[in-house]
Amino acid sequence: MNAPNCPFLGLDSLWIQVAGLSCNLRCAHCFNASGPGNRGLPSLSREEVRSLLGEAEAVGVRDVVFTGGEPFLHSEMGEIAGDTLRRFPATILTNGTLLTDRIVERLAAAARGSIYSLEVRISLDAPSEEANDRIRGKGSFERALEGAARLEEAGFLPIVTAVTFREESDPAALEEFERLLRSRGIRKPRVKFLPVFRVGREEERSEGYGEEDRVTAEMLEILGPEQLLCSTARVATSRGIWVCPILVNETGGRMGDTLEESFRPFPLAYGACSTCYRHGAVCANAATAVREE
Amino acid sequence: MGTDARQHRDRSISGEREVSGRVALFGGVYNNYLALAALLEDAPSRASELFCLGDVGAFGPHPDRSVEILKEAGVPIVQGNYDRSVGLRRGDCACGYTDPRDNHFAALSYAYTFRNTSERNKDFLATLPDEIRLLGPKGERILLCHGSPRRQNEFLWESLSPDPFLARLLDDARCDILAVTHTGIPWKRRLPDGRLVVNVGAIGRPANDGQTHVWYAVLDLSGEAFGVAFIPLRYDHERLADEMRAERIVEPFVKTVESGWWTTCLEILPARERARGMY
Repeated sequence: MNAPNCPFLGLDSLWIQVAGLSCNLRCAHCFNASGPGNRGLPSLSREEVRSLLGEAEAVGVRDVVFTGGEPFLHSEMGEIAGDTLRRFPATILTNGTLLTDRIVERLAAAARGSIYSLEVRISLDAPSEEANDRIRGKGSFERALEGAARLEEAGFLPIVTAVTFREESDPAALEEFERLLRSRGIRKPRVKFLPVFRVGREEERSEGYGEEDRVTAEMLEILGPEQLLCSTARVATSRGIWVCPILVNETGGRMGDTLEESFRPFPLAYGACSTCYRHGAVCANAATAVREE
Repeated sequence: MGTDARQHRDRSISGEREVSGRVALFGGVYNNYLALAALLEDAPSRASELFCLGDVGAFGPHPDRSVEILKEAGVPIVQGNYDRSVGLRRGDCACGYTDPRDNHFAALSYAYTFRNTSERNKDFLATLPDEIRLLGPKGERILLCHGSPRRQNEFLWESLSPDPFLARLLDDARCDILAVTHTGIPWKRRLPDGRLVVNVGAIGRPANDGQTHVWYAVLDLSGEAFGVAFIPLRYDHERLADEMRAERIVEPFVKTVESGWWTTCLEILPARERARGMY
């Protein structure tokens, strides 16, 4: 079967794999198999990120998203956030366990100096310590919540993201998360559920994707390319530009050496594309636009 | 204005309406016919022409009243996502929310507006244009649209709209002044090259600032350089709240009218805008 091409509509979101695949946690479901000692993708230097920001400015990017691995393993993440916020809104995806007072204060200083939003997204996969730590590792629950509380004290409104193994978002689960966050002093809890991507470490745990899990030309026609992150985003890594954060371990996901080279259609040949299609560019903070059906 | 800009203008000049002096721009009526009536009293002393940027329905009571007032006054209207959905008899407002509770409240107000809009007015809303293009006295190309030039329901928030991104939108849409609404919170930005982006806010509900008044904008084309000012608009919000309760519109919406703080549709707000509100 020929995979349909997702057209490239212009770069709205530049993702930056700032810390490579290095992470202090080893979550059971990690879609890019990040973990301690994963040297599969070196991190980017502050200078390299600055150069990317220059390219992003030239093409009119809307926002910049930092991911990993764990971005706060990067020794200069605070400075990089400051460089970015001078020019763009930014989002940092973190496990929340390395948010020391020192780094939070740096982030707060960067945010104060900017008219743009800095979003910090903390991963927490269950509203109870036992269930969360089973997936994310012992101690991760408490440390992530301490990180969230530090952000709150510094005036941030962290977004807690939870991978949900259910089809539909569950209002009871949402309330449980909110209760938990309120009990930790977070006054405006923000919770976002993410679907599980059956790639990376998750592929070993579950069955991965089957041949039937594909986006067809017909499906793409129905909801349109805006439904997919790859129509308006790219991921910069130390090894070049990839099509989306989910596919950084796929050689077929590499789009070129420079952003400019990556601005071309992408064949939706992967099972993970069907998850993105069904849930609608889920990696974004909140869809800035939703296509009418 | 650069050579490129001039060339674009020359190509698109036909069909553009010429405006000068001061022009009032408002959006997000959301059935608030009392604020709309107050606007029609207030704006003529400040501006020679009025334009509505869409979303006549949602949130407030008696949707037909706002439509009738706008028709009667002959105000040109850009179609918003709400107008399009109601006009095309769609199942939902296509507001662009992503949170289940935001969608729950959006569905309630859409059902109310849909049920209470006459067939004739639905047909009228379906005919509204996607955008209105105006031409200023010095050749300024002015684009009025609802969400963004590229999508009717795209949210343009101040804290999520860096200059190079806005410049790209203006380049692609070939305009020097862009006016939008859809988010409900007013802001403006002068780009380094002098072009202007303004989100006119909404007259239908307060701007999540703890104040009961609402906002519209007046674009001033009379001086050397164009500019825009935001005008606070007071109206009888207590009467609106009473009428909303009489229509059994859900209490969180009424509370917003009374307090000036948003109580619903909060999850779509970026960090900076969310931080300013009470909830």
